[in-house]
Amino acid sequence: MKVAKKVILLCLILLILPVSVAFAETNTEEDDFYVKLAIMATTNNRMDGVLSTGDYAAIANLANEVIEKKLNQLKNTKDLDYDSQLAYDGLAQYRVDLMNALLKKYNQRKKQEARDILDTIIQISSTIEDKNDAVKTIPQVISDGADSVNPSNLSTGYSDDLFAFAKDIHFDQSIDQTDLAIDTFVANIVDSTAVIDTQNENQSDNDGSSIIIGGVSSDPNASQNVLSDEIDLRPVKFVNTGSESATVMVSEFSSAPGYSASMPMASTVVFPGQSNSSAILNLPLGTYVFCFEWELDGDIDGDDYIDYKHGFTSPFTLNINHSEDPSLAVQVSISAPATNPTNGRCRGENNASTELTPEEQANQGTYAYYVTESDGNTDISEIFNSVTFNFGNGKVNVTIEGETMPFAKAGLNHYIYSDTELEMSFTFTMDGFLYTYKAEWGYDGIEYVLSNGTGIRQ
Amino acid sequence: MTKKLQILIPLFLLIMLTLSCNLPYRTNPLTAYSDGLIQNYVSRSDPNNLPSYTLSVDQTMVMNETGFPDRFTIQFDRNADRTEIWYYDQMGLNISFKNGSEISRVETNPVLSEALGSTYYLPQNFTKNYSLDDILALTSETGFYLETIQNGIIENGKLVFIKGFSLFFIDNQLRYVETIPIGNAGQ
Repeated sequence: MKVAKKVILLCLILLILPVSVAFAETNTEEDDFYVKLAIMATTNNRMDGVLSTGDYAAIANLANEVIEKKLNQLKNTKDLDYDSQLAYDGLAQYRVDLMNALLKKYNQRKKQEARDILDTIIQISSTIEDKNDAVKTIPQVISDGADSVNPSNLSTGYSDDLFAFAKDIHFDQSIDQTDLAIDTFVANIVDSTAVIDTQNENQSDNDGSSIIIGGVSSDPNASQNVLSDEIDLRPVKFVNTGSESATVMVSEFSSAPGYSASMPMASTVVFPGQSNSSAILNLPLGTYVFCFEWELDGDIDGDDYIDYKHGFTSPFTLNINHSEDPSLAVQVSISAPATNPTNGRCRGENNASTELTPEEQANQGTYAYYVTESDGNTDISEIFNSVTFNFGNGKVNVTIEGETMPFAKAGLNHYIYSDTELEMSFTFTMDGFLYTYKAEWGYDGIEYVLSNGTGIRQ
Repeated sequence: MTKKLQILIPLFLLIMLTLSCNLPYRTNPLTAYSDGLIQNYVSRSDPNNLPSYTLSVDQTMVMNETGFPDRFTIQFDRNADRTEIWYYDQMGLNISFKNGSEISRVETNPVLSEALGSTYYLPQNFTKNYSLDDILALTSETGFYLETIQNGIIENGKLVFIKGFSLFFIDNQLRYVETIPIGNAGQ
């Protein structure tokens, strides 16, 4: 039944979309239908359980489009008479109220979807008589191990926070499907508020100091009332005014007050000239310094590796008033090559840096490793009791059973060795390493042994 | 030596040999226990002799470029197809593989939470031939939470929660692995 309702609703939405386009050109009764749909969606819980978060977002878009069109029509006449002014103000306020009501419903539905997912998890334990004990115990088993559970305490309480977090994890898996709808929805609400702030003279208390960036008021007091606390990511678009393609990544980051986020590790390539559509990073609120690196023309220093230089942007603060709509994303300009570049790459490779990455540090020294290797047909597992990695100056000396081989740094945590008969690489991780191995054998040298494996530090 | 002794001595040796191999205790924990919390269970598998999965070229490239996933799921279907999803939560990237070939790559919003870490385990640690004993040996865990799933759609299903994991077995065959790196089960 629920599926049938959703199919009907989907058909309804599909029917609405073409009408929406037509409506942009004409002012007919269909206009009101979208607003009525929004009212239905927010009144008397009549659509609860029928509409998904994506549905609420779609309805908000349609209703907002209609109201914005009417506001624009009224705007042209509002200075003519007192009644038009009242109509404009009333409709502007109505849009805020309607969008807030939809946002409230949207958040309710979002929480309900999380509960549904959790219910599914609990439902599959249908044979368990005491579900409460399962609910209490499973998060603790997953987090700390079964032996951490005191069976005598099963009915006396559990960690609410941990349980809530276990729910969040399962909820996170459904976020992907609704991301676009969330972005569109919130962007429209934010935009509508910004429009009201700047167009409604009666409501405006703008002191003239705020500016509009990407359709959103830079006044930190503006429009916060309609933003959800849960959304703290904003797109940042990079524009390269230089002549070389550059890879941009975060170099320094401090989270915005009241938020907790670790430093984003994402990067993106920015072509020179007009910004490419992929030159966007979704980042948590906070203050950033970005590093951008670009390739030089080949191997300048003769070490057989492509050389790089890098530069930095000035500190930039990403705040809650920046748009969530990628098309209205705040822009950060870079220019590659930079005026005062630094040799090497942003994160240390290719600049003879002696700083070790956490993965390198974890493996520096002598350890036993549990090594698993496969050539595609046979798997071999063996413990090597003494493997030494000695990192430094863009290389690592690897000593296994008394034999030492030098590996050259070829990337982040990635080292290679090559001679006429053997090619080998290590990629270091916090747990150990991955490795590949390719050796020629046979008199004609055309046959190879290919294998790869892992080493887990013991 | 009497005829009786000639029979008893080999029988005694057989019993001792059997005991030394723990054969009477080689029960399947999935069938030996009723639902609920099982603690202080000692795995009979040797962690040094477990089978392992070899990463494909696609997967090795992803590992080299992107590192280990923060968490992952592996599903083994009836045809022994292996479907994996590697979640790079902090980066905002999910990569799916079918039998080692990359089939999709989805950018997501980064999940930045202090409580959600990265799993200690690797996708290649798991093969479809693993028993619960094997996984307990691999993880050095001595306890788990067991739930039987028998709901008309799934017959003889066993859902198992171990520190950092949920696992699903059908007819004692491993069908699903999901790492859950929360609390002390993540780094």
